[in-house]
Parts: sequence; structure tokens; C-alpha cells
Amino acid sequence: MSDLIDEIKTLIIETLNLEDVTVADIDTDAPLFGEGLGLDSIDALELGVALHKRYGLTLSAEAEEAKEHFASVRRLAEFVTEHRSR
Amino acid sequence: MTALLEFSFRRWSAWAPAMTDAEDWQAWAREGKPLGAGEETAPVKAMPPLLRRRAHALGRAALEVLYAPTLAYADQPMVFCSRHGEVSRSLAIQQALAAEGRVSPQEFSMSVHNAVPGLFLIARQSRAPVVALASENRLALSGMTEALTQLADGASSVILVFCDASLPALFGSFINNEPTCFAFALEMTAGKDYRLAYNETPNEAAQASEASALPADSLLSLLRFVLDESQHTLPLTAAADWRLLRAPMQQGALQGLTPETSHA
Repeated sequence: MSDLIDEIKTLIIETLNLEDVTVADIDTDAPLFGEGLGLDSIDALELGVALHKRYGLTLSAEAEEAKEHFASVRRLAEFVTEHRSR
Repeated sequence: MTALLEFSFRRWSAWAPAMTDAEDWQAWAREGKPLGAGEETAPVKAMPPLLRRRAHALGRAALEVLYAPTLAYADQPMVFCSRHGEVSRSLAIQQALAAEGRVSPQEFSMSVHNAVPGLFLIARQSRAPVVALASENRLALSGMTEALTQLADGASSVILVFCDASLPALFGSFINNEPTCFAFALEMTAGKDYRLAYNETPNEAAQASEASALPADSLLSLLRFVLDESQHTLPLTAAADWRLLRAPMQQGALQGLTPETSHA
């Protein structure tokens, strides 16, 4: 799991062009959006596309559900583990 | 009516690879050499990283001149002029659409022509109005005309931003602009230093060659003209029907254009 967590952190940094942010800077349990990293709704869409490309999973368009998966890197890793097709 | 076409420029800023300060630009204007090529990207240190990451090379050049302390941007209306904007971004989106069927939402959100000034105003939390213009020819003229209408409408000053970069190689024979990414800003105010003039009998031979004029170069020609006080007339179209005239000035009248001058 910790490998996947670091992999997802790297994916987030690369996908969202987060200059000056390293894997170590991202708190595994902190919220990704709003507070925490301070990402916005465009980032959420961008990350959705990246997760599809990398893991073959499709995020629901339901806002509440997406919010759940994006709650933290740990939650995202759990979601990826459960639903990945590649 | 001519009063409507008169104005002054107060402050300016400019960015291009390998140009470090106002003296570099003054020397470039005097010597008439082309800008040097370079891969350097504007740092835009003044912008929060979370917003800055959204801008590519051309956008960063434009942001750098907007943030320049010498421009002292104060929420004036803005006229943003670029022939192609960040066309490499649109191209990448179209290529991704063709190859994968999915495009980057982030790239898409930044691919509209007014995205860069929008990003700047979001960072400043400003609601200043922006007009974004694109045209193959006569872009400098169009930008100044638009800014004049805003002055006539009551703005005390208007910020003109001009920027361009070379087209991606895929555009092949359509590439006719300078290979260098550049941006500059001019603050237009009411005044009598410059005047747009129309000549009803343009040179017909010159008119025929307008299709092959170099619009990106004409943007830089405007900056060169403004910085080089020895010039008095700048043709704004290949036909020279529209020209920018510099009023005969007393020595030192252009002092306001030196970036070091403060305007308290």
C-alpha cells in the first residue's frame, strides 16, 4: 500500500504541475482539495483523467462519491486498489 | 475628432529570453537588431505557485510583464493582444483528442484566448475588465484603437499587453513570425505624446504586400518605436494607411517612460 501511496503522490505532482512539491510534502491523510494541498475543481477533473489512464478506473460523476474518493491520498489508494483494471 | 486619437504612454514593461533589464530593451530599440532566441522561461515569482503552474511559456511571459514593478498595475482595464495565444496548448489538446479521445481539463480550461489575463486577475482578486484580441495583421493598431475607446469611455488609463511566440513546427508554411517568445505592456493614458493618423491615399504597392507582412514583428516594432525617441512615424499596416505619430517633444518629455521613474 505504501508503494501505491507514493505512486499516487507522484502522479498528483506530475499531473498537476505542482512545482516545488515533493512526495514527502504531501500528507497521506490530509484533504487534497480546498484546504491541504489547495487543489481546485479543475484539478479534480484532471486527476480523474490521469487515474483513468493509469489504472483504468472511472470515477463516478456523483459529486458526493467523488468527494469520498478524493478525501485523502490514503482514500484514493484504497479506491484504486479495489477498482483498478490495470 | 483628432483629440480622440491622441494619447500618451506612461509606464512600460517587457520580457524576452536573454533580456534582463530596461537598459537591454533600450539598447535593442536603438540598435534595431532582432531579439535573440532562447529557451528561457519567465519565472513569474510574484504569482502564487498554485496559479502559476497553469501558465505555459507565452502566458508566463505575459504574466511577468503584468507583475513588473515598473508597470505598477492598479486594476486598470486591460487589452490583451496576441496573434495566436498559447496555440501549442490547443494543438496538444487536439492531438490528444485524436490519439486518446480524452483531453486534459486543465489544458482545456487554459486554452481560451483570455485565459492568461484571467489567471492574473484571479491571482490579484481583481474584477478589472479584459478585452482579448487576436488577428493576423494590424494587431498593434487594433489594440491601441480598443484602448482608446476605453479611455473615451472614462478609464483613466488602460494596460495594453502584447505577446507572441513562434508557432509549433506542425504549422509549417504558416510560420512567419519571430522565433522568440516575448511580451510587453504599455500603460496608455490621455495625453498628446502620440497620435494615430489615417492617410487616405496609401501606397498601393505597399498595400499589395500586406499579406506577407510580419505581424509579430509589427508588435515589436511598436515597442521599439516607443523606446526609441529618434523615430517620429511608425507605419501600423504594411500599406501605411494608419500610422502612429510621435509629437515633437521637449527634451525629457519621455521621462515618464523610464521604468525607474516613480509616479507618486
